[in-house]
Amino acid sequence: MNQHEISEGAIIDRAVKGDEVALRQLLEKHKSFAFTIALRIVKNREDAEEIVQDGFIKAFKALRSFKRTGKFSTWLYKIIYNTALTSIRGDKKIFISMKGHSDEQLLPIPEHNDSGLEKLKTEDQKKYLSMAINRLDETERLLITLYYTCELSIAEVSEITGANPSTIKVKLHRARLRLRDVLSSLLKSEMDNLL
Amino acid sequence: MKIDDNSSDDAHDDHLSDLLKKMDLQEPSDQFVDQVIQVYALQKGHPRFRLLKAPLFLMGGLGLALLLPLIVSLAGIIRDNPTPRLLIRHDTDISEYRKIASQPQFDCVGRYASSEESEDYAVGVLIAKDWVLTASHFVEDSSVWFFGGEYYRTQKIFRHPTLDLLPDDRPAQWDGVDLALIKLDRNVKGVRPAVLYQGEAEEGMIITKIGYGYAGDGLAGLNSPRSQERLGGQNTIDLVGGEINGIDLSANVLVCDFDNPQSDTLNLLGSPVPLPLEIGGSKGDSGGGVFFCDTDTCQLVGIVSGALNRQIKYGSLMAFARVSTARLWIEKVVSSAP
Repeated sequence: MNQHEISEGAIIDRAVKGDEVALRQLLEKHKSFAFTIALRIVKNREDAEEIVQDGFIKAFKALRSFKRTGKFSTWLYKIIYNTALTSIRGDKKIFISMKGHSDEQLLPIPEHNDSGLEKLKTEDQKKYLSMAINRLDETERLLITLYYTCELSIAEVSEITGANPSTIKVKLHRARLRLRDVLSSLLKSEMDNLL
Repeated sequence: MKIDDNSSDDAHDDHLSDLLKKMDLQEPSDQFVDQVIQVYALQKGHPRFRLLKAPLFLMGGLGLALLLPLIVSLAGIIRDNPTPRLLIRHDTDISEYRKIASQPQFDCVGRYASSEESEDYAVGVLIAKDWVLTASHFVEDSSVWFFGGEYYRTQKIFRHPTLDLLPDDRPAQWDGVDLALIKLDRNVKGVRPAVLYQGEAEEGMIITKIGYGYAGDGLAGLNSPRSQERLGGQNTIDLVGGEINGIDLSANVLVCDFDNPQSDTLNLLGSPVPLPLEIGGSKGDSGGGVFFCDTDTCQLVGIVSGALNRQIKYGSLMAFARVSTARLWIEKVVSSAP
């Protein structure tokens, strides 16, 4: 067990006893990763925030059952993942949003060409990449986020999603290929609109 | 050539992988941490964990004496309302909302599900002995309706004719035509159908909304785990058509906001002061009945159709399909369908 795990273990011990400072520390430390994961699944900030709130509260209530053999983050993200999936399933007949999705209208047009991505400024690259990720299906979005953005291992992704590691590897590979196709198509489409 | 192609792909993949690793994490709102702590404290049944103890200890007897009534009062609120509630005021007992929903004049509001086994509900309003008026966006061909303790099946669906004319990118909720009439497989027994509102004076009207939305409250949002419940509450129609947040709503849309009793900063429309049993719209409320009640009768003025915010908390806006402007279509279908 390393120093980082020991210190987080101490925070969890205090959080189990209801120490607000410790709970805040856990929230501050994991909120960004948790929110990013939820956002990739539901694609909506308000829903994602609600899911992450629910997820943290479930985790806090179940802190005593957290087995210290694994990482707290993996355990928490699994709860967030399941909460997000439940939310999506429950969304079939919901009170639906009237809010438009206009974030795609604000991006700059790429100056060029077949792949295009390398030609853009880093910030624009990220924006296009984010748009492309949002056009992947739910599983692809999630795997890309967990593996690349959250920098989790295949084993951790496997634990969170419940899929076996070899399946994760195959799906991750396909997701990356799809992402590349979507990105190319997106950049080309912007060019076509310009011409 | 193949080798070149592959190396180009690999280089592209490496670049993509690098970029993916550099993607920024997304951040929740600034209030997120405080909000989670607040909701968790409420659900756990103690106000603010241990932080409360230190100041009490330091303040000594006088401070304790001054604070004791407040603490007792807060503990009482938490004890009496152990479960946070959505779409209703956070400071009002949920039993009041249940009472409204159980009034007999609202028996015409029934529950929708895709099957008798499903616990995923929406809502519809009985407007004739074998006709239900509801929102179009969730209705499936095979579905069941629960009125007066019995299930009835959908026999035929008649969607609002304007739905077919809308551009693909314009939600039906914006035009107030998110409506469907459902012919049931048989007459509903023991339930009096709703009376359709005949006037055109909806703006400023105090309405009663009955639905089966997810429970929770205006501060915390949806309860966890989710549960749907029949609740009724009040709101004021602040707007009939018009522009909100750059969205042009037709005059077939009625809009209410969910006012916060603690603050008026989120108020967008009308008075910022909530009604005693102010209610917002919640997920699962779609198709719900919106009524105007005077001393003698209640009339159906709207069908819950959509929200202008995804997060249904204080400050959110809910939209209803306006019954008065759809009345001719409703009457024509009901009177002429075989």
